[in-house]
Amino acid sequence: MKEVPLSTCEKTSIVSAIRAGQRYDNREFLEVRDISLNFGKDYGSCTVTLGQTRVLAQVTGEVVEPRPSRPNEGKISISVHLSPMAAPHFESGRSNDLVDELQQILERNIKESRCLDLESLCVLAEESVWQLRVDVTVLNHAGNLGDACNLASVAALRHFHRPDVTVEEDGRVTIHTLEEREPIPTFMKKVPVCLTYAFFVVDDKCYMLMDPSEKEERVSNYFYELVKLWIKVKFGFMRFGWLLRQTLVPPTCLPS
Amino acid sequence: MSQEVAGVEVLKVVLPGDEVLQYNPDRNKERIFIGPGLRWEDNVIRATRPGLLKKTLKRLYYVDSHQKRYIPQKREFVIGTVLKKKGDNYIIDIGASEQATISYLSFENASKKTKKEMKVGDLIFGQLLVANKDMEPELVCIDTYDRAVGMGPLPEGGLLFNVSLHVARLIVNPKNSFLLTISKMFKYTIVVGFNGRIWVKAKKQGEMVAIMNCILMLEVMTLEEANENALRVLSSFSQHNSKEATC
Repeated sequence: MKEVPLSTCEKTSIVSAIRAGQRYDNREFLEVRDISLNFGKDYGSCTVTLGQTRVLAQVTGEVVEPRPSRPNEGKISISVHLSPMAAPHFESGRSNDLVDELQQILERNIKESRCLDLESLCVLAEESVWQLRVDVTVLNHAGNLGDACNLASVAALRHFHRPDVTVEEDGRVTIHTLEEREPIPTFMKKVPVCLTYAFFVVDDKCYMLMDPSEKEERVSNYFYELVKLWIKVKFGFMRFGWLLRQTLVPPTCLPS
Repeated sequence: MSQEVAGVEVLKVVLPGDEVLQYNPDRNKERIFIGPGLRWEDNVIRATRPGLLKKTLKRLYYVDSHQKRYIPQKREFVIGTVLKKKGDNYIIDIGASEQATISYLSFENASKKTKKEMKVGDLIFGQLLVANKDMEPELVCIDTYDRAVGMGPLPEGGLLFNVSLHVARLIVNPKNSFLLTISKMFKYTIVVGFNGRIWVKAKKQGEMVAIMNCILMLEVMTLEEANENALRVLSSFSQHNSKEATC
């Protein structure tokens, strides 16, 4: 099914509501919808609900051979799945712009930010490392998939515990079951938090909305995604830094 | 257990494939009518949708189910969006699996010389003339006597939103006073399409958003609860002060 096109009436009414200072669900401009995280019985499973948007992330791990260029590091692979369950215009199987975009966001946030210490995933250098696989499934699309997918995958990674491993003297690797030995949690030194803003340019004024809903997303002029990495210092205080920024906005419209 | 609700009796919950009753036209003397969600095969009436089996006083049986996707039905009023112009017809999107067509002659006072001009993205309120699974649905904006009777392109402005199909049917029912409750607070115009699309126009933008949220309440509440909460919700929306975040 093709995406239902927006009528002129819908576009103009959202814009005039924003000009009058009102969003359709009566939120403030910089207010985020209610977020809830539900973790599954198994380690590494998390469902995030951001308003009506729902995303499920599942982390699994297996022991594989490392990349020859990086023999001490583990691997992470992230994949996003969009099916017609999320929205009628999604087609599972066919490569979608949105799937590529979401995958790019997650890879940049998790892999390039080096938030997960890949060297800790190493079992035996040059022979065995852990490969973590994050599968993100969008269950319902009601706007702001980037934030929801990021939150789900980060939460699932932090929830994931990998089985304990012993390396024998002759190089054999034994993976213990969860009953034999306590599993080891994943250590994230930085936590990537993604925030999406939508911009509406009306009458030479620029309005900035946080956490856009589906209609606001479709009508807005530009998007801006901000990724903040929260660093935990040893006393438990949080400091944050602007480490990564991705803009889809022409420079004249950036907030100072 | 069955309850009498304004002349409609709720019989039981059915799942697709459930046998509802045996009906043999040779043996049963009184006639019954089967409506949406039911199918008559080999003297057995079965349900084809999950939901509540209901029976009206006039012996009409149907299954009332929660539905968001619209399936075109003849003689229903729908709101559509103009997609493009194709020859003598406009292609309209009504939220169904197929796109509908409307001829430019199907408007009041339209002739081959005076055509109704509509732009892409305009909204139109019409009645389905042809709607079955084998053909493309067709809309008209006139009745059999060539009168508009309120149909045609919708005026500029206003707010369009989607609801589940049962909510649209609920507010249009003349026995329900929900729309009257809202009119105590604001003056407004409303057009309800049976495809789940509702268009509202009021004086101020804030009022339109308030009315939209009020009707959306019906998705999760019963009519009685919504009537109680309506005025409270409307006043809380209208008190919203305009705050602008500019950069």
